[in-house]
Amino acid sequence: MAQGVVQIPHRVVQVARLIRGLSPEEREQLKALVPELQRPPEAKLLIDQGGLRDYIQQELAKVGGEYPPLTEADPFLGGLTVGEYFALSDEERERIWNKEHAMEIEDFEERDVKPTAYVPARQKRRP
Amino acid sequence: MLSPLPTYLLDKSVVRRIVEGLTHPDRLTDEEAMAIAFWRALRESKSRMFISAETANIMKRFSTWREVRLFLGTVETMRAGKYFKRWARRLQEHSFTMEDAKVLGLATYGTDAAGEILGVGVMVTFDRPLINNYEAQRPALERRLQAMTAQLSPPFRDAGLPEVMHPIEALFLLG
Repeated sequence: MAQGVVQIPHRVVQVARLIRGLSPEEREQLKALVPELQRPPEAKLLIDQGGLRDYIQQELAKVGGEYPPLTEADPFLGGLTVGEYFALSDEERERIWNKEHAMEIEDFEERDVKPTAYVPARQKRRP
Repeated sequence: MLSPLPTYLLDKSVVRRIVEGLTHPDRLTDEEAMAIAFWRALRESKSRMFISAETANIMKRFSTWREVRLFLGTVETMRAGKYFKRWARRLQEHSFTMEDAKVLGLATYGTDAAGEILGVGVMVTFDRPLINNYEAQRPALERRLQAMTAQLSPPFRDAGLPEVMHPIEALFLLG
């Protein structure tokens, strides 16, 4: 199990997958039977945020000698500065990312793939 | 060609949480913490992490900063392989938005810089409606893909559908 993450039994993960496969109508039926499921997930119970903070700081220190950290005045997405960007709501920041990803399907350049290429989707097992 | 490394495509919702979280490690939101815990687990498990060429091009504009540089140093760029456009157009006929079709198209018909991989095993996103739509339509998509690939040459005839998961689910399955 990944570091900093509380272990969840595999059967719980399997139930989660099963629920995701239900139709909207079946989900409503399930919620009627198990009303507790309507509460949002509590990620704070699952992830050690202090451990993550230390990890991020360690990793940033490894590249910090060569590259400067972002500052409030630096330009960032949407023509905003870093400070302006992070003053926006989550929804507004998401809108900026969506606007930046405006490439049309037809504009993608398709590349060659080797005949012997590995196809991961055919190798894995469904959990 | 066989590769022992698990492969993951991170959509822009995951990339955004990782990059944003790296800028303020002292006050991570729940979603940023999930995304970064997942990213960390992938690094530690030596998995191959991909982002779309579109997302990579956006991030590269800011690659002189340590947060972006750190992230870009851990991921590869997934490019559109042959038949990507055809599959992405068909995905749009199954109620997927253009954004969804692009990332799902890459997850099946994307390739790495050397052209040695076709698609990924898992596509990860915070977009619950996308995950739910994918699960609901999966049997139809399997049939559609099979019909499309039947006449193609290798490796395209072997193309498969990825698993599509929320980061928290993918994180626990890594264990």
